[in-house]
Amino acid sequence: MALLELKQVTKVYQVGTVAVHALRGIDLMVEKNEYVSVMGPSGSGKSTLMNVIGCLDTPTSGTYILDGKTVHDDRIEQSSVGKLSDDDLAFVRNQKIGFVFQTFNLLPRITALHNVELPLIYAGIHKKDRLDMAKEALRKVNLEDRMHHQPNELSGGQRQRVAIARALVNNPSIILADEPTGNLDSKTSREIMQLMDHLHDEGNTIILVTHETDIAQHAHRVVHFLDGLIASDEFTPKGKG
Amino acid sequence: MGQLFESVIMAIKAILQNKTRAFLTMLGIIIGILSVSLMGTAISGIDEVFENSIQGMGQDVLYVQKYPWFMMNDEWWEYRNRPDIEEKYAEQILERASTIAFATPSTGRRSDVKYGKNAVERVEINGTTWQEAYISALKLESGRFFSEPESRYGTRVAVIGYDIKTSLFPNEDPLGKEIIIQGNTFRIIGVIAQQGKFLGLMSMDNIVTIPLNSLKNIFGGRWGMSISVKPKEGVTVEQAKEELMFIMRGLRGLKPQEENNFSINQQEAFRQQFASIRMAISVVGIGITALSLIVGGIGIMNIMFVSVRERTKEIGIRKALGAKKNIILFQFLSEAVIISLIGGTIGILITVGLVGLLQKFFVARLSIDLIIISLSVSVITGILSGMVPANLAARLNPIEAIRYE
Amino acid sequence: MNLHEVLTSSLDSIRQNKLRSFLTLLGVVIGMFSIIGVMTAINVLQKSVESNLNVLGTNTFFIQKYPAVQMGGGTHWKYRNRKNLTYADYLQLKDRFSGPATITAENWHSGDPIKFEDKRTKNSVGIRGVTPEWEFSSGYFLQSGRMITRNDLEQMRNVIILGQDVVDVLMPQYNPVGQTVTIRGVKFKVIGTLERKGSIFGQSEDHVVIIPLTTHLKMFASRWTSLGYAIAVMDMERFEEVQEEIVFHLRLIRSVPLTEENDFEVVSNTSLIDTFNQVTGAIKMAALLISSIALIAAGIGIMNIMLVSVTERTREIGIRKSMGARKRDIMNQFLLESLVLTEMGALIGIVLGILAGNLVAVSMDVSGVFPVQWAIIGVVMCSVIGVVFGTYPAVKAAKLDPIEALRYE
Repeated sequence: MALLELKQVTKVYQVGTVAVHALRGIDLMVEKNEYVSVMGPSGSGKSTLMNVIGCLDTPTSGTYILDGKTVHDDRIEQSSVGKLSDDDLAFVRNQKIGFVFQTFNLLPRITALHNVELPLIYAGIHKKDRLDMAKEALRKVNLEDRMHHQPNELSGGQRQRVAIARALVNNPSIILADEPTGNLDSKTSREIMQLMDHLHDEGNTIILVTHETDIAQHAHRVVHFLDGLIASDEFTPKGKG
Repeated sequence: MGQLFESVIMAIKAILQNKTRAFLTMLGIIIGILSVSLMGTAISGIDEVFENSIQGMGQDVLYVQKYPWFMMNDEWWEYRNRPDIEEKYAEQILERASTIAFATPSTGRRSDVKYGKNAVERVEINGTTWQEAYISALKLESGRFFSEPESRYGTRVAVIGYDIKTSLFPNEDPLGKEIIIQGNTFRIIGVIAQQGKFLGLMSMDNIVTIPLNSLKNIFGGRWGMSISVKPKEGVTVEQAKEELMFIMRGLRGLKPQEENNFSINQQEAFRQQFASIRMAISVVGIGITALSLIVGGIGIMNIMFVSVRERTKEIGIRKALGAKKNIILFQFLSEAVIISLIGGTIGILITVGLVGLLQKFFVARLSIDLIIISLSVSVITGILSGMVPANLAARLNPIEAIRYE
Repeated sequence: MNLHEVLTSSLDSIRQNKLRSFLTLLGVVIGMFSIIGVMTAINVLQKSVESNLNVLGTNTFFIQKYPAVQMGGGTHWKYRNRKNLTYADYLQLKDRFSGPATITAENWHSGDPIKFEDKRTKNSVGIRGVTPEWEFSSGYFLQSGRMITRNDLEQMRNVIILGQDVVDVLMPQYNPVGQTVTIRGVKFKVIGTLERKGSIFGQSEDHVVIIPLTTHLKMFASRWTSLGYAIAVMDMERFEEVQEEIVFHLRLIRSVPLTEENDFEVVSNTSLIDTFNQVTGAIKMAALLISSIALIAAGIGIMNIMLVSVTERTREIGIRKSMGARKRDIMNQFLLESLVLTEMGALIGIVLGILAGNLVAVSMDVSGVFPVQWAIIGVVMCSVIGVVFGTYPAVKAAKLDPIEALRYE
């Protein structure tokens, strides 16, 4: 069974009187430990897809099953099963998703360690275990020595590594990286992508949104979006090999 | 000038940009101004009631009495042994005095007053002469005061106060009606206009005034009098008081070294007494309500700091483009003042609306003065609370400000 | 997310914006100061009056014709028509009653000076005629000489005990005991002096002389004379019981029909204080109302600043939500921030208010008070204000859409 399964997912936004069809019926399956890139021009629906997958948003129609959990299924009438509440979505985000953003989105004025702790706090994990887990996550991204620094004392690459550590710390089913190198120079970008590759090697499932072809080539599979539909879904040379 | 005008426009735009915030900031001022001005109306109300209730005494009237109006508790015993004030003094004073226009004896008793089925218990029955009308400057709502002959012959006529009228004659005109006092019939010839009450001071509203000779007739006995004295036109109260003192000492046959064995009272004593009470009420009342205005002012200051911070970059750009310090200062200061002034105006409007409602519970008077004072206070509050943040904005370093995120 | 976590993060954000937090806090402090200051001041005044009222002696109650405090006008008549309390009534009452209490009868006169050689007191000196039991109910103590005895009373002796003010005026140089003073030309032999008692409401308690009641009545009684009875209860446990019994006997003696109310007044510290408290109760309500206005203004200030805070931290809220924060986590965080601000303000305001209120105590030269009750009410009021005005911003924060919030600049 697939780790992530989308069936005929649509998303319609109402902007004033106009209905914008951001997703027009997406079918997508991602297996455990896959490494998928999502590409497409802006407005093609890839951000909306990421929001849906990341449980920040719910589909207008269709079915979304993540790690055996039905996040959305409009064929099921009972709302308690078919459509999750905001708090349930929050729980799913907390347990199964790790976000990496283009702009890092670290909380300013608190330390890297505390930033990494954040998902664990909402998971209700005890302080002592939390600290151990957060330190472990920072160790994985090679930032143990900077863990007591605040974001503004860190370089862009370091900040993104803190963000990655934060995404990892909860042992998520899937890591969603939205243009993780968008705000970084090419050298730092390479380092970050090496880190992503490494995470994949360790068994993590990664979905990567990018508009840069060379970054996309790190993945084993590339999904192209156009006008709210999947235009192509192919394996990269890495995936074939 | 154009630049200043531009600053005001910008201030208004800034306020409109964040309506909830501006509203809540104003609300603080509204509450502050509302409570201060309501307290103000209450104090003016107290003033008015006081003025009304001492009006019955007449501004320049002197009272020759056994006791002074205000004394220490244990002094009473010193005065108790004084001889009573006699009725005949009034005429003797008028005969001898050159500065005194009127002098009348008066005294009071309590009695139930009845009209048909209606009755008022233990009403103060005041016995006096026709001169009282000229001494006390009483305002009559209807009818007339008793005349000199009525006074002399002790005719059974009565002038009643406003409360007596409403209790005994809820639905009819009292004039010409007959009331029963102490088993005797009195015809009502006049009604005194309403005065209001204050802190238990005597009010003409629940008094029945009858000729002194009638009073002596129906109650019998002999008691001490109070002589009310009114100076002639063009004579000061002090001059009249001096002559009165001299005449009274003569009437009492006092030797030069002996102390007065009577008191000459005047309205002034009440004024002094009242002034200290009013002072206490004002200081405490206004003081406490002013605290809420201060809190409102602090609210403005806090929000202005936020506003400066949010617009740091904007300020930096303006400065880089050549805006002078004072223009920036003026922009933020006018923002604070506008918020405060609008809040103050709304507060005053609510006060105006509430005064009507409050008058059901106690006397409240809203004066133009109070409105002007409240509006000035709100402007001052705006300036005081906007000053520091506006100054902060004006002093920003343009280079750092532009870089601010 | 547990309380400790929420608290830490609230304190963090309060610290991050010191000026803003300080001003917001200041509003609450002033609001609380206003309430607590006024209430403490009222408490001080109340306590000073109560302690003055306590001079009656806590174990003593009084029977008299007129009530101690007459409220409203027009009721005087009702009391005036009552029968006087007489010496005969007193003797009967003493005969019938056998409980754990002493019954004193007393009459008061003033207006006549006490004379000694060429000196005289003011007319206002209080001349009190008492029975020997007075010793137990009066709160006065002998300084020298002896008390009024049963013999003095029965034989209507012209003996007198002087208060200290009287001694000071008449015979500061002499040993008063054994001297002779005159009242209305009647000679009295001084048998003792009283210890100084001080003054209440600015009136000296020592401007007084004591003579036997019988002598007093012979000299001063008129048709208006009505005695006061003071009953000093030995066993406080049985205070109520004694009071009921005295009332029962006195009704019988005065032949009050069963269905009618007492034709005399029972006055005790408690009844006096009750009357007084009715008056202060109304004043307190008004003062509380007026002084609470500032706190409400402070509450609005909190709401405003919390709304600013929510706007400024929109992105933070988005991040927290993407990390799995539930609505209630966000809500708790902001609500707690308001609460921490108000509670801190409350504590400071309460301390300042109590200090200010006690300044009144210092200026009036009475002992201070710590109004625990008002401090608690203050904290509760502040919590209510914090919750009421903090809820809207907190709900607003909790309702933010995570996608929008993450995009917010």
